[in-house]
Amino acid sequence: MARCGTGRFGFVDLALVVVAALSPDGRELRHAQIVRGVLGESRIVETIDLVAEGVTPAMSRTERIRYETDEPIVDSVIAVHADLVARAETMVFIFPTRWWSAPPILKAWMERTFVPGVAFTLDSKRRVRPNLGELRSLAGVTTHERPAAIAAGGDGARRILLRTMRLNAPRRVRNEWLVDADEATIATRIGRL
Amino acid sequence: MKVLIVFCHPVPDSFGAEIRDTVTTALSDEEVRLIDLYSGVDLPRDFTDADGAALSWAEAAVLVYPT
Repeated sequence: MARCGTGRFGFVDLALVVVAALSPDGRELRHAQIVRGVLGESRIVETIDLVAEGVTPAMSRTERIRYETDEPIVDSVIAVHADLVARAETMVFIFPTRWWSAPPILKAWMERTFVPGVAFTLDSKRRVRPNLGELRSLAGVTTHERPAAIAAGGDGARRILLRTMRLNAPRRVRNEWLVDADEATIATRIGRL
Repeated sequence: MKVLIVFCHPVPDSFGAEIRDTVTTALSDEEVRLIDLYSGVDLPRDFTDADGAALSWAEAAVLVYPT
């Protein structure tokens, strides 16, 4: 269960909802409303709407070169997002599955925010060490792909988010993964985080 | 054979660019077209009709990109 009331250290936990609102029917934004409502019962909720914030769906040359430096974040908006990532106790990603994976805008955002110094650090032997010390719960809500199609082609987004991203957390991370779910199911399963 | 090489990497002097050159050299006996999605600019460009024509033209494709 999520920690209620004042939470650890006297603060209410932060939940970060990241939405790639790419479907013309607005499905991702409707799901985000449901998720925000459920999480808001026990946490402070911040939402990042990748399309509304004008996130570019590819890394620029400048960003790629800066990625190799000690200051990989180029954009001030991304710096704010990275700060939320670092402080989040819960993260929920809402997006359409594209080509059996997360859409480019979400991948490009993760590439910019889950950088060294935020999501992980490198030790003296350049081994990856987890750095998301607050993260306890992680969920993906994907739209517009029949579960059968994902079963046939593989679920790249699930692999990226649940298997790989969890390695950035030093503790066990509770998770939920929802493929083409109805809103009642989304509310129930997100409520378990 | 008509071979389309699609290259995607933002940095011109990257390892990926070396791979593209190696592939191009290895295919020197073939008829080769190159699509460079960054093509010297800071962000990749959009899909064009010329890209569609190149896909229709090609008998083989080699995609060079970082995972």
